[in-house]
Amino acid sequence: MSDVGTIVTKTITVPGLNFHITFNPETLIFTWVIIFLISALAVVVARTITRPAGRAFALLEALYSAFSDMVEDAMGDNGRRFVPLVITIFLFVLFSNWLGIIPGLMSPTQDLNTCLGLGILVFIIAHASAIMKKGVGKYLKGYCEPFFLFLPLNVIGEMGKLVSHSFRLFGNIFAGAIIFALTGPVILKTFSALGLPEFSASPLILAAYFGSQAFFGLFVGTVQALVFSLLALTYIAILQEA
Amino acid sequence: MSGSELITVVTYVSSAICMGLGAIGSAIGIGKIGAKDVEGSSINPKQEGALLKTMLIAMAIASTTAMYALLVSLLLLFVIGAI
Repeated sequence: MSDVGTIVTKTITVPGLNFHITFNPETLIFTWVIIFLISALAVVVARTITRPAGRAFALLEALYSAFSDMVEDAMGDNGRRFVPLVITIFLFVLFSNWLGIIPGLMSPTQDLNTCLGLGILVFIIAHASAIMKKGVGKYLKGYCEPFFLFLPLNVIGEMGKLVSHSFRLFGNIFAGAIIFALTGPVILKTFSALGLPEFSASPLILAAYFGSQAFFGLFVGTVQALVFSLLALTYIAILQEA
Repeated sequence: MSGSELITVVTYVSSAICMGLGAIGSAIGIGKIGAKDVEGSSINPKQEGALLKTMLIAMAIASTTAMYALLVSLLLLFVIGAI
């Protein structure tokens, strides 16, 4: 049971130099799988636009209009250029969380590096767009609100946003994966401790399998994808206004 | 019990305590947010969609402290526990 939470890593040393590169092959492969899935979905839906609108097109149109309404509520009319970003983050995180449902596959969001990468991406975009909108002077003055003694607190607060944003996604998906990996062995051990035959535990294990997949994969995965994209939107909007 | 065994035991127990106590506050907070959301949307059912969005964000922010506790207990388990 000690292998719960370990991630396969592969370290490559550049010959001649004292320089190491560490890869997580599973994360990389499944991230590319998701990129191809989303691209295929986009291409298929884009082809059907000219014909009478199908179900997939109607679904994606509803998704788009829901997100563009949210973005316009938060940022007004000039926030329209952030709509594709927010929807892309939502789709990527949603597909990543759902990929772990299939047995044997791993969610890329189960790896902290993916979540931290997405968090840093949102962090850089939020700060760069705030600087572009307000100018460097007003942006730096925003750190000294309400007065200059709050400068360290504001800087730590921005860092805390980055950490909590990425750790929220990672924590939820990783905790789901750990509980999912622990339910089967725990039920088996309970049955053998009670002196019951092991095969009688199989219906309970099957029920626990589907129940925890439905809860952690579908429900928590969807809610966390929505929360991650909404928080990205909120962080961008807060820095643009304040 | 030797020294390294004691360290392992203390690490596991302290990570469990950290996660358990750290989750209390955010659990209470999330419960209160959910209750207020139900109250608000039963008073004003037209605002249910907007309230749901705000509730999700507020719940996510309330769970931040639990996430920090999770971070600390994961560090205890996989960094100090692995030494």
